[in-house]
Amino acid sequence: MTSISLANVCKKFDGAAPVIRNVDLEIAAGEFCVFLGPSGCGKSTLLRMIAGIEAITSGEVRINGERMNEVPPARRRVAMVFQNYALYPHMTVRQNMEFGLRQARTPPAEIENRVAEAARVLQIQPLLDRMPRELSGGQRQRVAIGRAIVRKPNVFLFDEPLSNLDAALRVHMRSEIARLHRDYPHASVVYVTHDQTEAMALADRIVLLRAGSDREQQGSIAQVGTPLELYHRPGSLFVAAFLGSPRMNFLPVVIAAIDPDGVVVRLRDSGETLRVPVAAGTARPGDAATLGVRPEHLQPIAPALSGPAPQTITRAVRAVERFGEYDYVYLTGADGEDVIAKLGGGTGVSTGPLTFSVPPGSCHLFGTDGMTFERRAGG
Amino acid sequence: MAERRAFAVSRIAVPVLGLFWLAVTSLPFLFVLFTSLKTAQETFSSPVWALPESLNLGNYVSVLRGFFLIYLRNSVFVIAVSVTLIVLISAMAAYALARLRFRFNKPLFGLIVAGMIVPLHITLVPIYLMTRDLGLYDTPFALIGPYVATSLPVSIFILTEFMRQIPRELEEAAKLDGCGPFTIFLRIFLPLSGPGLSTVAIYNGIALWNEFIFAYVLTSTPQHRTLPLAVWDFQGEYASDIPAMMALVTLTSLPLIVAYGFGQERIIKGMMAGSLKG
Amino acid sequence: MTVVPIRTLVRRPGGIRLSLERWVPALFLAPAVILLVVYLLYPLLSSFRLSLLNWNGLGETGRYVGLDNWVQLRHDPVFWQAVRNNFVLAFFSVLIQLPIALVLAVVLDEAGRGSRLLKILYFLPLLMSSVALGVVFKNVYDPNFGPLNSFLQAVGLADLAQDWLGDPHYALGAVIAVICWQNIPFYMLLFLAGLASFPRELSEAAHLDGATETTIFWRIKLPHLQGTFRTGVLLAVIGSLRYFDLIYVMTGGGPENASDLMATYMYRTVFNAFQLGYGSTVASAMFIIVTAAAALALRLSRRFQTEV
Repeated sequence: MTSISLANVCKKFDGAAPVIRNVDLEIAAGEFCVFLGPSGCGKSTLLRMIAGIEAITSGEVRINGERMNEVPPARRRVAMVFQNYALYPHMTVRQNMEFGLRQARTPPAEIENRVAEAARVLQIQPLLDRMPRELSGGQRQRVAIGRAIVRKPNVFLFDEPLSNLDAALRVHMRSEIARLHRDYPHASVVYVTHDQTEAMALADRIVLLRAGSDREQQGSIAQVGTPLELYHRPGSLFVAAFLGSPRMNFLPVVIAAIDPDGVVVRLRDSGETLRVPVAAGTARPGDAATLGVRPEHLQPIAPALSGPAPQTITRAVRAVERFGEYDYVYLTGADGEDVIAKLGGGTGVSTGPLTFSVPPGSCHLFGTDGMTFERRAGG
Repeated sequence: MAERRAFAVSRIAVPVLGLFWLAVTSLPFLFVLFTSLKTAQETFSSPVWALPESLNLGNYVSVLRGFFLIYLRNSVFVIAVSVTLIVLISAMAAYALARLRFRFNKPLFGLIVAGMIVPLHITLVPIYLMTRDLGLYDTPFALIGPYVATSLPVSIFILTEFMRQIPRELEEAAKLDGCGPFTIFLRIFLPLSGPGLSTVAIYNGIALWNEFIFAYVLTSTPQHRTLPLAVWDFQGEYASDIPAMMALVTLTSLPLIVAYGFGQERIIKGMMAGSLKG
Repeated sequence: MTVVPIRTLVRRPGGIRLSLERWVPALFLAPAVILLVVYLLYPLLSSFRLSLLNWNGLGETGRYVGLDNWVQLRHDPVFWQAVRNNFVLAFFSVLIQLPIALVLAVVLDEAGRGSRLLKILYFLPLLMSSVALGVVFKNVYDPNFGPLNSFLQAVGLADLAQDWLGDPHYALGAVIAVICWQNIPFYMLLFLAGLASFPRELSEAAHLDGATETTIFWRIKLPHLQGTFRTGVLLAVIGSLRYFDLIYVMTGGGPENASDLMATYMYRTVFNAFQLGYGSTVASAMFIIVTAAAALALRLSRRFQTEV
């Protein structure tokens, strides 16, 4: 059953370029959906439009099939957790959690039950009579979540809830939020973050929004899919570049040949050729394109004795960063941009040329329009 | 060498200058206090800076027997009502100007802020005529209207600035909790503006407590006049009874000085903030 | 979890709600706007209207005389004397109050532990009503029984003793002295706040560069205070141009208009001479002068800000 549906939703502030463009999206009941994107992509704005604290310029937002555009926030059965927690500083933790229920004239006994239940789930019973300023960041976060839980919402909205916490606490709270989602399986979660690790760890589905230089596409959906779909089958250069750390290597290539098994490309800097199992579409030999390979997919092999082996690239090592568990090897690439290979720790690599095999299945090919060449069936 | 000499100079100059200004500040106060304890006879017979011969509280007794308490009551009434209204009305306006969206928000704010430069004396004659026509002349209510209105620009300015600092997310959280603009104002903005409200209350409270010209023009009888006029009326009638006059000055200044004793920092901060904006 | 159909929760159709919302700002602003219109805007305009009348305030309304009052004002030596006095007051307020206040602020800043008590005591004059102060200082200046002249006689400077408030040469100066006495603590606190915002790292860095305390004060701390200085000048000038209280209480503008200010002259014209029309002309002229001076001062201080 669909819980939230957005149809052609747009947002424009007075006199400025649109910040949200033609967003169509269906979020299922119980789904954990993450809005991911670089800062300025409009992901928070989109969330706030679902919450009802930002007006919808055009399009329609529905929750459980009901049109929500004109419904005030409190009647949408949504609950929101803010980045800076937005706890009322002049109320105790208990009063903070009760406030919304009191506004809705919930019977006192019911209020007490719900607050006690939420406090138990979040283990904040000892904090109930404290003021927010007396709490640590993690505790405030729990209270903010508690304030959302007591409303028994159909939809939880999280706006970058972990970005004010330190690294260790962030990992801990991340697992708490995942547990919370398991405890309330019928409620959908919409979760905004710019942190891909959070998105990968938490999401059933990621909605990646565009931002940046391309003003025409700013605030539109780049790709929707499960975390692994987005990681392994990025639909565009933008998605490929956004997910993964270190970033995917992008090598400028020319299409050398097209055959039924795929496309053969020639690297511009070295002239090496690689086969990529994708459908050529409208591309012709001689067209420019970009080859993408993730750092962890480059595997070193012994250099062939006579001439370059097929499906390999050979590069000089410029520097190595050792992290114990793995090494980053920086290889001299085209235009002064390094090619990075991520290898298992303790390789002992230090200098000299290295040869890497480039498995065809790990290659991505992007056209000049930034879109991915479609993968051949079974490729 | 030079440094050491400069250091020595500041070692001596700092306490000397500090005590010198302390003397300049306090001598008039001591003159008032000592004179108020003398008898009228004493002021003529002994030098003016001589200590009083005995602790003579007679002047205070006779001042308190006069109209003093009525002036005091009027002051308390007028200031309490005015300050309450100022705080409430300016907080409401500030909330709208800081957070509500409407078409003339910016020009209206600019106009109200410009109201801070208007020399209030220009309004004196029209307000006098208006008060007379409304039948409020020589009642405590005559003062409340002008007092509240003339205090609004600076108060609205201070509170608007203050409320703009309140995080927007709190308002949004309240909307999600089901609050309309009125509940948000009462339950979130008013309680969170405490320091701003107290600045407004302190600054206007002190300024109005000492206000002279409107009170002088809009009231005429001791039954309806405020404390600053107690001194004025008294000096008109008993100009020669200097000790009694100084007792009266002491008594009229006492309420503020006592209040100051309880919260100097708060009052200093409030008055500075108010005057700086005004 | 129970799922309540949302339709039942929506009590009012959206359209009506939105139109109600349009009136919310008006409701919040209404009390303030009404009071400001009645007690500030209307009197302002009314004052200009009254300035065209010849009226003693007693009849129903005055006789319309056009710009006669304004022509009279142009040739009224007392008014221009008052304007001049206002600017004298402004000039000396800036010249006397700010330097003394700065010195005191530096003293308090250096004094360390004792400074809190001194600050609290210094502030006391600002709590006094001008009537009370005026009455006190009238006695201090009293030519026969006042402590000032007694003091001068006691230290052998009897020649300097004057009828301070009764002599046209000294009256304005004598009152300005009291105004300064009351207001210096205010500017002192202003500078003190400016000094407190002085970043410690700056003077530490200057020390490392080998600067002496004196150099640090003149070359680093004082320039840091220039914004505070501008604010102080602005407040002192605007405050002086609309000043009334102490002058009225202590001299009433006399003797022979020697200490008259625009505001005191306006007051006497209306409430002592019962010339409501002409008094309103004085008031309106005062409004124009103060507004123009304030606008000019604001613009100048902004220009300095961008230049420096």
